Amino acid sequence: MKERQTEQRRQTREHSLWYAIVSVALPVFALLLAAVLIAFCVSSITVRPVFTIELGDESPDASAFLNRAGSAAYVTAPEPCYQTAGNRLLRIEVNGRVRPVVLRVRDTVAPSAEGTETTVSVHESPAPDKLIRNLKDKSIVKVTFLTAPNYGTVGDWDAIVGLEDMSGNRAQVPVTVHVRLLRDSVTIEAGDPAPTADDFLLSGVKGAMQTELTERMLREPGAYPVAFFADGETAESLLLVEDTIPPKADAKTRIVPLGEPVLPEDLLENITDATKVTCAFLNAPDPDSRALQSIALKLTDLGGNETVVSSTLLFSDVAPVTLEASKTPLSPEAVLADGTYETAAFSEPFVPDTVGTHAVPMRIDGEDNVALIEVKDTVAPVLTLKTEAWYLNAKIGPEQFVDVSDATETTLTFENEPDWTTSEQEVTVLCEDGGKNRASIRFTLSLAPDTEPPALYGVKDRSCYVNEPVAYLSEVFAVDACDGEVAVTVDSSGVDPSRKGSYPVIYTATDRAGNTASKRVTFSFVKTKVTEQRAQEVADRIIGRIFTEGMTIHEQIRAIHDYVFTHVHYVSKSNKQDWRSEAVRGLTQGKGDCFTSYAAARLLLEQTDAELLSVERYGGRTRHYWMLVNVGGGWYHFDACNAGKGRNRCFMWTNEQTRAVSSYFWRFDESLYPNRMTRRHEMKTILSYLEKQASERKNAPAFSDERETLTFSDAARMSDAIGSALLRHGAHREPVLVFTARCAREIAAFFGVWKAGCFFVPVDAELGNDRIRSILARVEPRFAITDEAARAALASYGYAGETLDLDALIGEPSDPALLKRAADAILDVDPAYLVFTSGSTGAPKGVVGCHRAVLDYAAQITGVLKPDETDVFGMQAPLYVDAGFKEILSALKSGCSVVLVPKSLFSTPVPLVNFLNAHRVTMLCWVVPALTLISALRTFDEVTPKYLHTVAFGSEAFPPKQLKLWQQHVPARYLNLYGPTECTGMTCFYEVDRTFSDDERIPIGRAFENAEVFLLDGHDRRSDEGEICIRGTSVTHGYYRDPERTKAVFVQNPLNADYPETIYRTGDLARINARGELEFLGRRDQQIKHMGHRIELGELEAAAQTVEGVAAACAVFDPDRSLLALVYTGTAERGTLLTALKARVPEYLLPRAVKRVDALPLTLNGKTDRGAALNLFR
Amino acid sequence: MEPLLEILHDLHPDTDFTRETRLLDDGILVSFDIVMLVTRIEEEYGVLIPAKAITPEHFNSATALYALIRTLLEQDD
Repeated sequence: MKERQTEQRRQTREHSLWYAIVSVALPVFALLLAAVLIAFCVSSITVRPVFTIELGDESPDASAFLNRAGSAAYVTAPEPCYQTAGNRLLRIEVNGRVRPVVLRVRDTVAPSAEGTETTVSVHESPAPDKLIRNLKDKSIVKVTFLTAPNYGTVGDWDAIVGLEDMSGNRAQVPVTVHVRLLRDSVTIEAGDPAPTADDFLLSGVKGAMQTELTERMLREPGAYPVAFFADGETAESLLLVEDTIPPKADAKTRIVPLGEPVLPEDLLENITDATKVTCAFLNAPDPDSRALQSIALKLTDLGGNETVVSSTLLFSDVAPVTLEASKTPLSPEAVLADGTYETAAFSEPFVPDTVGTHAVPMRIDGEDNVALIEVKDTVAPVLTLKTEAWYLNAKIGPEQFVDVSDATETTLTFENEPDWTTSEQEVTVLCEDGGKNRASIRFTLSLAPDTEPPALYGVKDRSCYVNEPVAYLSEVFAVDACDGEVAVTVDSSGVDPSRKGSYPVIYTATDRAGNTASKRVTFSFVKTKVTEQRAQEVADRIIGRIFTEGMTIHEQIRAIHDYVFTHVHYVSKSNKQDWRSEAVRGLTQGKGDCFTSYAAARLLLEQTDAELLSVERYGGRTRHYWMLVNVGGGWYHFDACNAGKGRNRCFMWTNEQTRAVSSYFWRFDESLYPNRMTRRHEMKTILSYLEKQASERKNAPAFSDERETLTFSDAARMSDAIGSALLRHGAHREPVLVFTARCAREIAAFFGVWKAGCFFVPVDAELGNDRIRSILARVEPRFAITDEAARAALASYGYAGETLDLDALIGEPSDPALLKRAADAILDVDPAYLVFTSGSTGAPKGVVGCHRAVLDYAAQITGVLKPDETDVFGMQAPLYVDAGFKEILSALKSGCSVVLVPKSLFSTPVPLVNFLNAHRVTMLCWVVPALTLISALRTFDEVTPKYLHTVAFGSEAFPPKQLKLWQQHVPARYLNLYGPTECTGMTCFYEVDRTFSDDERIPIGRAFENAEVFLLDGHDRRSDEGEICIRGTSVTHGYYRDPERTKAVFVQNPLNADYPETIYRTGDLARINARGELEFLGRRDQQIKHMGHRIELGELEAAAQTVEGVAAACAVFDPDRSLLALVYTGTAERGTLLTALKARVPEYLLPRAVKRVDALPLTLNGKTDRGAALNLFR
Repeated sequence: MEPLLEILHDLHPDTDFTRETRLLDDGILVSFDIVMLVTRIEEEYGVLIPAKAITPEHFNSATALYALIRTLLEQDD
């Protein structure tokens, strides 16, 4: 290119020089010379009269007819692409002259086709073109027999079909023809009606069946010869009877009198199958048990198809009874007939206050037994009005107004929500009990103005150090009967912090009605003998000795307790004026009293992340000092004094524990402290809900896949087995890889990992080899739970840890003692899972989510989706991302069930909808493309989902046009969900409450209750448009073994300069619209959302650049068409590049369009121009 | 047949669509390709593909898919 330009420039220079000389020296000949020059120029470009192309190629540009570079245009243009061979006369214009040229279109490629093996009737003689397939040629092809088959004669004939195209190119294709009277065989399903003669006879053949097809043949799988008399000859065919449909049966619950044998058939009814069915126990009934037994039964038909049915059985010799509900414990006489026993008692007192059928263990005449008691409630609840004062503007629940008397649990609702701003109105409260009996009470509700001031808490005399900052408001709060917590103001104008002395400080709180509470206390300022720096040195020295790398906060505070308890010996003496100098004295001299121990512990605890409160004994003649400590699970007592009551190690005790040892020793004024003193934290992990569902809704289905349905008790039992096995292998608070095909048992594996106190790292073959390798390299798991395919894959990656087979783990014994120890050790801030998401440099990022956030997410997502135990989720999400938590946590929290929709159905919309209907799916949380698959392909013309009432979508913008189609055909709640993986699942929701025009965006709405979403502008100021930032429990711990990238986005809240508070910067941009809803605008960087997955374009580019023959690559995304595309330079073929990418990136990251170019488009600044690159695909 | 092969080739340049006979069964056409594929066929051939025809039977091979398009075109005539 460059050379050509230089050449042209040189020529131009020479011509101009000549021209100048000639025109100046010989003006007379100027005109003549110019003509000669033009002739010279023209003759320097010659025309090729003939240009040859192959038939089917596109016709060339006119410049193809030039023998050197130059420009030419067609005067007579060729067709873009010729369909027949031959010469075409064209005319082109070169430098103003029209020249005739010939475009020769030749056809040198012979036609090709594949031969077939065909069965035909003796009455048929199909043309040769019917015997070949995949005929390929650019022109019309003549198809003839070179050797014809012997049509009309029964036999097997080889023939040769000849192909000749219009240019005379030829080919031969051998074919085989079977000439027959009958089909070789006819296949039917067992139980189908008998086939007729016509099913066997080939076209045009007349004949009759000579064999009688018996009922036994039609019901028993096998191959049966069938004789015919056809066209005057005897002939034979085969009837193939298959049995592919598994048997069906319904479970039948049985109560069996003691000693009576039980057969599998006793627990089944409505057994249906075309063939004979045999039934067997998978787990035999235990005749010694008096509990409700879950019995799995296997049905096998003659085709070997199996079905497993789960039934229930109870051995009892007590006749079932039905009773009215009551709050009084039942006596044995109520269920046993007189004279049938001597002694009888319930094993545990039984109160019949829950409607339903209960299997209640009893002891009758010294033997274990069980009674089946049906409790019904036919008595309506009785409501009485409370006599209390209620206040204006204080919204309260109906239970605040009414006392209920009923034998079963009741729910109260307002018929219409009261207007809390009206002082007098009629209100009706409705009540329903466990037996669905209803009652209501109507009364005049009088709301009085609020005249009561708020109560002040935590306001007390304090000591402070001269010239050091004072946190007047720490530990202080005010609560109003009407308004809840209200702000506290402090008047410290009487304080001179630079001088020793006692000063008045006044706290004030005012409620909305203007009632004010005020309290005056004394702050004593003392001079410290020990500087802050000296105390820090002492603390640092000790902390350096007692803390080790990787200690949890719980282990740290335990180490502090141990240290102080063993190093500060009790002598009854201390200086209580100055805790800091007392702490230093105690820690350096090793002696002091309870105040010294308290001060020493406080100094050391201040070096940790624990929240601290100082406590002083309330009342009594002697004083005592200790701490309240919160490390995330509530407040506990911490007293490291080694002369404590009975020399007890008071470490993280509850109020109840301190009182059990002494009602006086740790007595304190509870009104001064947060009302958050908990008992041993009851719900540290979501597993508590699994236990609850497993005990309350035992046999209810929880998780189903194509193979099986796991009930809640199955899931609990399997996870117990998995957890116990992991613990026996030595797993301890560490990542456990879960790598199996997507199935219900994988979910049980997640729970099992939690039960072992570990956290799971889910992966799937779909992620591709390189992604899985990089996850293994980042995590280095010691344990992997796998199926067979994954085990082989792991071995090929060189994985060195232990591989545990999922199905084998489920069969392992459960060890309750081990499990309890692991459960007790878990903190709710411990990691629960580690899922990987796309990273811009190519290395994926592992997000560490904790149990507390999972618990919180379960509460938030069920609060928004509102599933109940009758609901069924059709789950689309894969299990290797946090997207599936919506369904899994909903099941645990609400007891609903989850059906995994097979991935293959997401290419066939009608079978997909049929699946939803067959499983009576009521709720969906799907990515937008999955919903679009149904609506955009006119599926609703054929079928509609019949049971859906809630449809949630997310991941990317739902085109309003598609949403409208859904709304027209499926009446349901529609919700848009939004949230980054870094904040534990979803964070925002919007329930569609209006219609949108096609160019509008559906908002992402507002944050879940326990999260705040705010927008920061370019200067980190709160704004109505900017980057989405999230704070709350849901913010995860960050990226695993990746401090750099964690630091970049998990940052101190820029709006809070007062204390450490981590927020997550999403990189997503949004604005707040006129209705106060969040609207998603786009990304700050190159991240996109595609098919529900988060994609960094940089990751795809980085992967492409590792492929041999790729020089540079640029990934682009067209959100309108949801098209992910890749442009590249280099020598690699498109196909080779894609094949190589398949090994390197997850399936969802594969580009849907690929283009090779000579050079990537660049911006003026020399950066890749993504806009221009994207235009290559438009 | 050629335009159809071109559409398919554009979606997956690495697949030989004249040979593959398990496009859906083997997950070569992954779920959300289908919407784009059907839209482009409808534009190219001017036929409407009914949702119930989107099954492995018709979409497992280019030949089967082409046969479906031909049948639909004939119904239109």
